[in-house]
Amino acid sequence: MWPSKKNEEIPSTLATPESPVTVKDLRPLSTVPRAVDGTSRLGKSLAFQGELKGTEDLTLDGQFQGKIELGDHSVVIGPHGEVRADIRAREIVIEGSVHGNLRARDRLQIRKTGSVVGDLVAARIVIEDGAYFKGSIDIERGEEKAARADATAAESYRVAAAPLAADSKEKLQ
Amino acid sequence: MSFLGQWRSAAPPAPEVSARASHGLAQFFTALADRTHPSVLSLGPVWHSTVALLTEAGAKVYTEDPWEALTGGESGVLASVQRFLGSNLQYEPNSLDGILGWDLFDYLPDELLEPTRARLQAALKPAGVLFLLFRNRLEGEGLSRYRLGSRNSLVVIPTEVDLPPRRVFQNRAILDLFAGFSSSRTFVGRDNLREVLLVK
Repeated sequence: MWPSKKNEEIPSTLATPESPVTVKDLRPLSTVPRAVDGTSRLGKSLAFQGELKGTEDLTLDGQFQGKIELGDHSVVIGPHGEVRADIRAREIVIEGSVHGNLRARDRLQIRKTGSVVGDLVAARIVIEDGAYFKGSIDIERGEEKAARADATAAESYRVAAAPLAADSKEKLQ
Repeated sequence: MSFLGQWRSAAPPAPEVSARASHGLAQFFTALADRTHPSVLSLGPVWHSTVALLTEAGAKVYTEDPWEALTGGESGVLASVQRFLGSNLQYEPNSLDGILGWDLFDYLPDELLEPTRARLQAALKPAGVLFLLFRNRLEGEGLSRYRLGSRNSLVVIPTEVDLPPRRVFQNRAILDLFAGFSSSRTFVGRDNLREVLLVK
């Protein structure tokens, strides 16, 4: 007779050395808090209009109209997502429908279920065959990023220096 | 014959995807090589390999699928000239370095040939290149899609969309339609396709 495997550790594909998962830890998904991985979620029955900024990942499966800026974080437009917005994020994944311009600092992916009308800018772009896309695709290379960062730094230096120059002028007078 | 073999033989034959060498594409990429960050329009569905090869060549890639308007969507009715031109090929004059037009002109109704040629020609920069395919025969031909296999090869992907090509262009008709271009080169392959590279 084979020994019972009840309550034994499950295969390593689901467990990590730091947090071994046992069978008794497995719960129905509905009992697990949704934001436990730091990802916010706009479910498919929700509609939102406005400007969304933040410092966490976002999964959007409902309707959204406006603007999304998540800097160093990722945005996933789920298969039910219907978005009319410009999106800026570190990583963008499209499985639903988007009308808008997308800029990803790192990777931008349009899955085969995805539909995008707009202009794309990213360091890396992956478009699965079968996806719908109308617009332009521009790869932002390292030197372009560096040039843009330099321009931004120069601009902020100029802005910061301007009041100082004004102050010194007043002092001279 | 095994059961699996019988089942497979009973199924309708899948459209055969084929790859072919393309001297026209090789010339197209050569023409782009002289330009800094060229802008290239690829007509048809978006394919990852096409986007990857063009962006690797330093290009900004535009893509749109004008065949959609020709299939008429759910109504199945052929799009009007206004509808086609109202939703397709709207680019600034002298804004594109290259256009992969594939076999679009084989499918256009007569009323759209000249307006479409004019739009593409206007969108090209001086010395910009237009790559086109033309069929040598109509028998058994449906709607095929094309993607880049490499810088000198293309992949032909037949579809089951009910949109047969409308005509076979004679060489003289091609030269007449694109008379406003400064030069053209034709590459004849062993299959049913002629490649034409036009330089504005």
